[in-house]
Amino acid sequence: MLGKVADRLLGWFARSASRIAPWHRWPFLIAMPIIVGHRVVMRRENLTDMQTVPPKVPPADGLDVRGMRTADGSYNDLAQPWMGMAGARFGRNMPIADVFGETAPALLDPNPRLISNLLLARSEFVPVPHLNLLAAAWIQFMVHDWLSHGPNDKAAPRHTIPLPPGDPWPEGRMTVLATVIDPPTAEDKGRPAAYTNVETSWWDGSQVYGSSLERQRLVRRDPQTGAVRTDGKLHLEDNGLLPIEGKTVRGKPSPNLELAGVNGNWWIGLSVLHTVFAREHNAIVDRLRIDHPDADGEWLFQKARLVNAALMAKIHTVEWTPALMNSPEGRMAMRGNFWGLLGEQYNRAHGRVGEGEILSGIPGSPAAHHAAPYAMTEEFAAAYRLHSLMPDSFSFRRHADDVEILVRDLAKVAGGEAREIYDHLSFDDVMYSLATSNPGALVLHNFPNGLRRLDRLDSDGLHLDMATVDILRDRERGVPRYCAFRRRIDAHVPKSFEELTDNKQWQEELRNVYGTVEKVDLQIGVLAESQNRRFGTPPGFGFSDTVFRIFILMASRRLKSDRFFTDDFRPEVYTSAGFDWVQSNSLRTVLERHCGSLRLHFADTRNVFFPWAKGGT
Amino acid sequence: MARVLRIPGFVDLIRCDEPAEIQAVVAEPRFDRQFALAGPLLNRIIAGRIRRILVLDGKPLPAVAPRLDDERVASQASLSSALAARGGESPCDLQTLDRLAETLNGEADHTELGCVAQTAVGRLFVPGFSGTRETWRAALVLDAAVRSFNPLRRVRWMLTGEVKAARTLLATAMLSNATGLHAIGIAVHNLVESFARMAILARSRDALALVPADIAASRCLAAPSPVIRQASSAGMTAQGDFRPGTLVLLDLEAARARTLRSDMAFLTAGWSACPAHAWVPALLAAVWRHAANRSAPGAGG
Repeated sequence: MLGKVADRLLGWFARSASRIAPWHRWPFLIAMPIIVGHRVVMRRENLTDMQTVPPKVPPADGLDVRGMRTADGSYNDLAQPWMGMAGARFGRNMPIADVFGETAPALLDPNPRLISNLLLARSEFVPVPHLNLLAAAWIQFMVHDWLSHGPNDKAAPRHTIPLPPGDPWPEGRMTVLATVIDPPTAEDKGRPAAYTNVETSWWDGSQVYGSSLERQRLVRRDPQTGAVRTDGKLHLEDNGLLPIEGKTVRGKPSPNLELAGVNGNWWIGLSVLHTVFAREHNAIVDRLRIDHPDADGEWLFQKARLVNAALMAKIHTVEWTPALMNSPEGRMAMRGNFWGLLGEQYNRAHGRVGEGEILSGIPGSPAAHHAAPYAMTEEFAAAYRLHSLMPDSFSFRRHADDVEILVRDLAKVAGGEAREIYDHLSFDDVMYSLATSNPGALVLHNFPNGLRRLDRLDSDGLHLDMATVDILRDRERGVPRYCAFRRRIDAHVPKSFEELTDNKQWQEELRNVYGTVEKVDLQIGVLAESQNRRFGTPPGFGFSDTVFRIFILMASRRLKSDRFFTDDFRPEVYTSAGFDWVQSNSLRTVLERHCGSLRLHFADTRNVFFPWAKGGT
Repeated sequence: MARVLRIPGFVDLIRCDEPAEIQAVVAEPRFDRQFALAGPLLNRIIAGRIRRILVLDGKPLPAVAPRLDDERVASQASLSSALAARGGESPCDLQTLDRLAETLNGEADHTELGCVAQTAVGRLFVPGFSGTRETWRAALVLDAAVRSFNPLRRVRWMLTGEVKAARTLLATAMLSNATGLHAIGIAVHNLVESFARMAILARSRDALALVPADIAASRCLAAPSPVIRQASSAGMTAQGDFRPGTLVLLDLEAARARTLRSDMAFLTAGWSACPAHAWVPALLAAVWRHAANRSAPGAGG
């Protein structure tokens, strides 16, 4: 009862204070309750369920669903076992009446390719000096855990994007496959189209382990015997690298492509993180076996997965996110999600205080789904369109002396080409190279040109401009445009281009393309607000305030809805050693374990997602 | 999650706005529409109003009558079959359709909209009926009489007998059909709200051309809120514990807005299903389609 009253007060306070100024313009002690209040309001108003008919849940097949994660994410919520499983629908962060997909001519107004050419194309690489490229790789590593719309619809009519005059696009025409719509049922009449998440929505390491039993068995397979390894480990080659699959998870041939739970959109950054966390899984298995010498491989695998997934969630919450939200409020908000206001030292010394999430963090508090069953959302997927983080050029250097060995463009570090880099440098050198390079800034005119012309000349013969596709997808899937989106998250809505961004040149360019500020796409708006001191990107943040609002809702929700981070985040489920492994480790200790030779390069960085020390240290 | 407001001696309410909760309450036999004078003060006031105002010839209107009331069951069945018998027929006559479409294409005057909405609904019961400024004003009074807590208005109504007169006027217009009285006096306000939402949607960029009629109907449908049930005995449910006289307020509009499920707006799965559950969306869609055709390039007029 007291908690409900406090929530109402916080929600009211956040709304009232935001009318005067956004949270980041208030002093720390006022900003923090505003952030918490925004989350309270959004938990009530920004969670929409799209699942009209729950998907069928396969039998657990003897797996102890109480103490282990299923391959497809079912049985996390034991009362609604379909929740968050692979094949369930995406939810929404907007009211359902606002998420009908746009159709032509609005779908193409203004022309997404024109936006790509005039507002997104990178003229000069704008880096984020305080971050390293592992930060960019990490977020894609996480997104592959949380969501994918799967292959596009080859049967449906393609979207045809008119080319602006003089556009040199190949073949003089641009088409984009439509997203597959989950077949509507009778219950869906009058509702917007819904889309299926082909990955589990849970934070369960499914990018490493796959979202199906079949995929899980593949990453556990010993190529010598063709059977699942009996020691509970993931298979790695003798040189410590991932096995080669030679095709994507969707079955598309890709020579030398490495094997992982999810290996789509692969590049060298994903390769190093997948390798490290496959090694980490195996290290956890070795540790668990000490306490449980008689346990079989299946039990060891499942418990190690539980621990590894929780460790990744912790790293994301207390290391990655604070690196991108490099301000006292950002650090407190995210570390508070895991450790609470009382902090790590108190939590580890004395345990939780009560069941609330404010004092002692979300892990170990009671699970709650708030206004809708748990699912990843389309708006969250839209907020995570962070392609500008990617550089167009990659420099690979030896960590011993920082001598450049190799320079490659984006295409030459992607897909199966990534593996070939290890022929020239050691794994540690590749890790070092990424950790001493910067990602791109999330601003206009910084979309990697390598992604604006992808030649996927497979059976469909498609050329892709990801910048065009990003704009089109949000419109197609009914993600509201920037102003409409901000209206629904209690954020200031710009009435003019001058209120959207302080950059005069951008104002003019936006006016020329859009005419009216109401038409500005979400993605363009969040990039433009990077230069808006009053209402835009908070100081020290690597991404916009608009995106941050969705993060404070969804970052908490990924933990708060998951039984394995809440009711069952305890030694009895994780094992004593496993629980301690989660509490004691971080990306820093993981790297110390698996890339020991690099220790001196990151020893002095406050956060391992900040650039490491270069050269012969 | 259901919210409970309980101040001993003053009020005892449970408010539900989630679809699953609402369905559970509707299915619960201990929640009915007896509207007995039971429970604390505010509960008695609300129940008393329904008993006094939403009646015709001393009997409760079917839409607020108890589950097992024979006349309610008969009236619900008869209107359902009458509407079903219309089949693919247009939900209203062309002239009414024209007038409703006009309200989408131009600035909708609320009174004009009310009159024409009453006409559309009223003709389901009395074929020659036409809503007028007087019938619309009577509908406003009747609806406010059930909801308003303004003491001055209540004193005025008591002194002038305005509420009774309004009910008599509407009942006469409906030839003493109790379901018709409820339709043009109470339910019509949801229809008017739906058309008002449609007019707003129609004003947004190219909406009439781009938004399909069934989607427009789904987005703009307004559900009655709140719909009230009264506990007939003590007990406990997932929504909270209750005692005789506890009122359960079902916020159908909140549930519909969250899901866009028209079955929520009309409670189609329950014993109190609105017989017009198919007719209303069909009318909204027909009006949208008609307005879109009128505004299409080359449509003329």
